[in-house]
Amino acid sequence: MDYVHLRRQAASLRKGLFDQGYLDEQFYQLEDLQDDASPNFVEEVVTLFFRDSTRLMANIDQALDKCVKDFNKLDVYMQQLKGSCTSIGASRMKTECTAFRECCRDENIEGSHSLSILNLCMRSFQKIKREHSVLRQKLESYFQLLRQAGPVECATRPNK
Amino acid sequence: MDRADVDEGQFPAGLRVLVVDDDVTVLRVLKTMLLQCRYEVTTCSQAATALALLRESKDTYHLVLSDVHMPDMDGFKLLELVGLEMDLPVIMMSADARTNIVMKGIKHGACDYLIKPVRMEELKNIWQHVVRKKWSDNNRDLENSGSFEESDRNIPNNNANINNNTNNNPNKRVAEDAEYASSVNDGGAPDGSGGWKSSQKKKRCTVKEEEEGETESADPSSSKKPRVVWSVELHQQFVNAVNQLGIEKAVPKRILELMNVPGLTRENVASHLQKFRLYLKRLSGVTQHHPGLPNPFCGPVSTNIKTPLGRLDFETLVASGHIPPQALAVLEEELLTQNGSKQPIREIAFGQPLVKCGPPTSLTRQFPQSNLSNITINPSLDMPPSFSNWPSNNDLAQIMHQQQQQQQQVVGSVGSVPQPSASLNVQPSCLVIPSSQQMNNFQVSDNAILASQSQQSPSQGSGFQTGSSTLVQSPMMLPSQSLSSLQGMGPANQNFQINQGSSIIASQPSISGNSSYTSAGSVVDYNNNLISTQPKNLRFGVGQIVDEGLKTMTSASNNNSFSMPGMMSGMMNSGVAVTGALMSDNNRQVRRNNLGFVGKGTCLPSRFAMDEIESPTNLPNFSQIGGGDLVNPENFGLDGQI
Repeated sequence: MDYVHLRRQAASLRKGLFDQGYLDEQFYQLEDLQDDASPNFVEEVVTLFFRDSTRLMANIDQALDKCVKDFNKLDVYMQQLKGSCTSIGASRMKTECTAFRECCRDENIEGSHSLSILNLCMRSFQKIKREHSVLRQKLESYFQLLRQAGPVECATRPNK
Repeated sequence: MDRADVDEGQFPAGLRVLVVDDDVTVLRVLKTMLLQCRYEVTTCSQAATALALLRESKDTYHLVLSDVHMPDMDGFKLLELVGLEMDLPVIMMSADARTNIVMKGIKHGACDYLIKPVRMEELKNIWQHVVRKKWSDNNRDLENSGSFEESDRNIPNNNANINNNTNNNPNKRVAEDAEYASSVNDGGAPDGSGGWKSSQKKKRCTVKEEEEGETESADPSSSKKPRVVWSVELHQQFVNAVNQLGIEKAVPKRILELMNVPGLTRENVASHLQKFRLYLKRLSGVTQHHPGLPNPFCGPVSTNIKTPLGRLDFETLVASGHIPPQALAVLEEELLTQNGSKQPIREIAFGQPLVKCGPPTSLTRQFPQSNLSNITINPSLDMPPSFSNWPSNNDLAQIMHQQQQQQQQVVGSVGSVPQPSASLNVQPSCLVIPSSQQMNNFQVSDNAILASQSQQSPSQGSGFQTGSSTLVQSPMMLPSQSLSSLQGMGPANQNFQINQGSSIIASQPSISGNSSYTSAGSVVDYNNNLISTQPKNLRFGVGQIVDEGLKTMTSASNNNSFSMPGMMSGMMNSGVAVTGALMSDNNRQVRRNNLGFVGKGTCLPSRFAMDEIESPTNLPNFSQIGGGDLVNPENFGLDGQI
């Protein structure tokens, strides 16, 4: 296998994630934590994140579907999701989560327009879902490349 | 953790952190980061689990990191509970950076508020909160001693060094704290959370200074004035008096009259009242956050076990001016439930002195753990409230004896119940410390209350606080407590009532029970053996609130082990504060050692001469218990300059 090529690919994928704002500085922190003792730390955390966030988002989906105008609850969910995003550095997702919460809060102020607010929230949530799946795809590719590029690659610190 | 194994120079390595967050990703990341900081980490995703862990062994953890938004319990509530029960520093975390939320965190007593994502640099600094808290506890102790400080300077004693160290101008100390802390923090993240920390520090410093000013001015009398230790009993009397008068109408003069304690001055009462009011305010403020808490009057508070009933009680107290018997009973029960079986003794301390406490309560309820029911607040026991009429040592000793014999749990090698020393010199100003051999227990309850007292410095250090907490709890505690604690009380009290000149202090074997206050649940056997109930002793801090008076205790010789001093201080101070180890200046070092972390000073009065205290290398580090030596104590300013 062409390790060099793979490694380069991985590096460029990674760079792209940062440049395009999918990932932020927190991701660096995760990478820093990876060492010989926990060689796959970043991947593990990311996996955890996606598993957890998928579950959370399913809850949110359900809540939205029911059209229950419990915006506080939605806000709580979103708070959780946002916290999760920040912990791995999922920057774009985080932004969308913030936007969503803004929608929820607006609702609380203008109760009479709750239905339209709900629509806004749903749309916002769609964006979150999109970001979520894009990020997942990219990170999955990234880690796959890393794995393919060989264990050496995992141990070395990618260029920042 | 076996602290002894950890290298001395590794401070703050070994700091034991409990992380609570419902998000597994966050937990994972934080855990790894904290491990990299060489801390010891325990994670849990549920607040309930965290509380259980904390309650199980109070001194296992040095610090709690908690998320704000959790499904099973509000992070702020957890924060309060931890503060109230264990008086551990709690750092909140959240992705929510809204100022009002952060403010809420501060108000609830958080030592810090980190905005997620939490960075390594921030985590590297969290140990400061532990240290700072300890010191601030110590400072508070000092400040509360008011005239004591002055008398300290004037009174030659064995603890000259300690005095010098501890008599260091609290303001200066505070400033040092602030400077020290801020300088370290500045190196950290220059973000909102860092700035927040600094402002919090400044705020705390101001509070300290103000308090110090107040206390000192409150006691302008001669420098030789004996310190008043607000023991549980004394405080109980105080509360009774306040109840009688009604909280709004309670003025020091009238309270003093009602209390009828010889040797107590109006100033003493005034300053104590001030603290009490602050405490109540704090409690009612806290209680307001939990509107769901049932009113104790409505029946047994069985719903929210996690909430220290003490708060409810106080709320009730504030509202009605009385502590309802049923509330007390409920509180007692709750405490029992909360405290678990491991710490049966905890409340004993309260029990005994409370004998005199106001309305006969239903405390005679039998609790499984102890047969102290006979000692519960039962007017028939006929123990006079005033110190001067302190029941003869023998009586107490006997009672304690009985109880002790029944429960020897933690006491371990404590051995026989110490008999009151004949040389005891009971003085009104003496501190009666209901030390229990299981300090943990006591501490928990006390600390909780103490913690709630002020957001910034949980242990106001006033005996008062302890008193209040004990007040409410005492009835409960008593029945449930094992004998040993009671035992501790007896002789302890007697011993502690020593005044100046008597050297009963902890050093005497009879005090074996008393040391327990030092939270860590270590039982100190004044025969020089620190009997720890737990491998990790002395928790940080919340220790005893030592009020004045301790200083009058001469140090016993025994405190060779670090833990001893802590214990002693516990004893000394206890009177009221049984909790952990509020260390007064003198004991700072000792306590520090005991805790294995931070802290100088234990509650022992300056007179207390503890050899180890003097040593600047006694700074504990996380890796060591009692006597951990900080390689470079000066770096941390822990060389007695607190």
